[in-house]
Amino acid sequence: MNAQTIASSDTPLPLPTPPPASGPQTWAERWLGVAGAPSWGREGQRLLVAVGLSSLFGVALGLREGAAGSGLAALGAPAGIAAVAGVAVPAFAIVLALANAPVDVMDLARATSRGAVRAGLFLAGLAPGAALLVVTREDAITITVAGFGALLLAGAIAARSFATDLRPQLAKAPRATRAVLSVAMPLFILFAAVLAARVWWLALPCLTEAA
Amino acid sequence: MNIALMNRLLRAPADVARDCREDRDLAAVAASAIAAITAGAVLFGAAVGSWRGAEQIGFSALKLPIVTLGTLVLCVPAFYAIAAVFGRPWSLRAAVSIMLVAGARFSLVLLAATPVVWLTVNLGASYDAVKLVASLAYALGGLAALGLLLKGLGDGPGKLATVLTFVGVFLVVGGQTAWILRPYLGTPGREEITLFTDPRTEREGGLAYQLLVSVHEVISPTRGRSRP
Repeated sequence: MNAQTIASSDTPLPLPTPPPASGPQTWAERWLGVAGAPSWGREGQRLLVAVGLSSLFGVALGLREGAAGSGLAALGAPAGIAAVAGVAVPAFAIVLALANAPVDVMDLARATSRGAVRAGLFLAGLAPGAALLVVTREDAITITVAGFGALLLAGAIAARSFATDLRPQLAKAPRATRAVLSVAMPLFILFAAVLAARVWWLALPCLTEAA
Repeated sequence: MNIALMNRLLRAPADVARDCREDRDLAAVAASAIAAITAGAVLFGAAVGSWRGAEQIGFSALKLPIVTLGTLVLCVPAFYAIAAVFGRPWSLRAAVSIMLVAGARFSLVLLAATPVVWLTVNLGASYDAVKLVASLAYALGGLAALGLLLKGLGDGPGKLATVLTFVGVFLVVGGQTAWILRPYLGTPGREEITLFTDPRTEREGGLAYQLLVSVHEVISPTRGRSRP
C-alpha cells in the first residue's frame, strides 16, 4: 500500500508540534516525541524499542518459572502489542480508506509506533515491581490481578496516544466521514483491547495459574 | 546531611523539585536525601521495635531503611516511565532525584513521628494500637512526599493521571516490600524474636487484611483470644 493512497488531501497535514526544547533531548523525548520527519525505518525502530521494553515486563512475570519460563513470557508480553500493530491497525487502515479519511499511512504508522512505545515504556517501568511481586507472592491471584491490570493499563495508554495523535487529521474530515469515524474509532479500540487481552491470555500462562 | 537543604525540603518543596528537574547540584541533593532517608528510617524503626524490645529494636532499625530505599529503587523506573508516558519525558537523573527528595521528605516526617511512637510504646499501648500509630505516621509521611511529587510534576496535562498511577504502583510495591521483611513490632504471642517471619509456617493473610484486623482489635478488643 502506498503511503499516500488513503490521504484524500493534496496538502501535507500538520503534525503535533513538540514542546520547545529547554536542554538536550532526553531518551524518553527521543522515542516518545514527534520531532523529525516520519519514515518507515524510524517507526520500525520505535516499534522494536516498544517490543524490547515490554519484553522486560515479560521477563519479570516469568521469573518464578525459571529461565525457560522467563524467556517465553518475554515473548508473550510484546505479543499483544505486536498483534495490535500487525493485525488490528492494518484492518483499521482499510476502514479509514473506505471512509475516505484524510489520514496518511505514515501518520497511522507513527501513531501506532508512538502508542506502542508508550505502552512498552510503561510496562518496562513496572517490571522491577512486578518482579518483586512474582518472586515473593503468597498466592497466584495477586499476580493475575496485578499482571493483567498493568497490561490493560498499558493498552489504555497506547489507545489514548493513538487516538490523540490521529485527532488533528480526523478533525479535518468531511462531516459524513467524521460521523463514520466516531463509530469506527471506538470500535477499533475495543477490538484492539479484546485482541491484545486474548493474546496475552494465551501467551502468558504464568498469569492464568489462578484461573 | 545538609540541614539547609532539609529545611528547604520541608518549607519550599517546589523549589527543590525545580532544582531536580533542572539538574542543579544533584549529587549533593541525592547524598543528603539518602542520608535523611536512612536516619529517619533507622530511628523510626528503632522506636517501633521498642514495643518488643531487645534485638527487635536493632532488627527494625535495620529493616526499615531497607524497606524505604528498596521501595524507592523499585519504583524509580515506574516513576520515570509513568511521567514520560503522561507527558513529562525527563532525564532519568531528574526522575531519580525527585524520588529521592520525596523519600527524604517522607523520612523527615517519620523522624518527627518517632517520639510519638516511642511515647505510645512507653505508655504501654497494645500491639494493634502501636501498629496503627506507626501506620498513621507512614500515611502522614506519604502525604508529605506526595505534596513534593505534585509540585515536582509542575503544571500541564497528565498530572493527575501520573500521580494516581504512580501512587497505585507505589502502594503495591511498598506494601509488598514491607510485608516480606516483617515483623517490625514483633509477633504477638511469640516469645522468640526473629529477623523475618517464615511464610511457610505463618500465613497471615496479607498487609491489607492485617490492617483491618488491627482496626477491629482497637475498636473491640478480643482479650486473651489467640491471634492469627
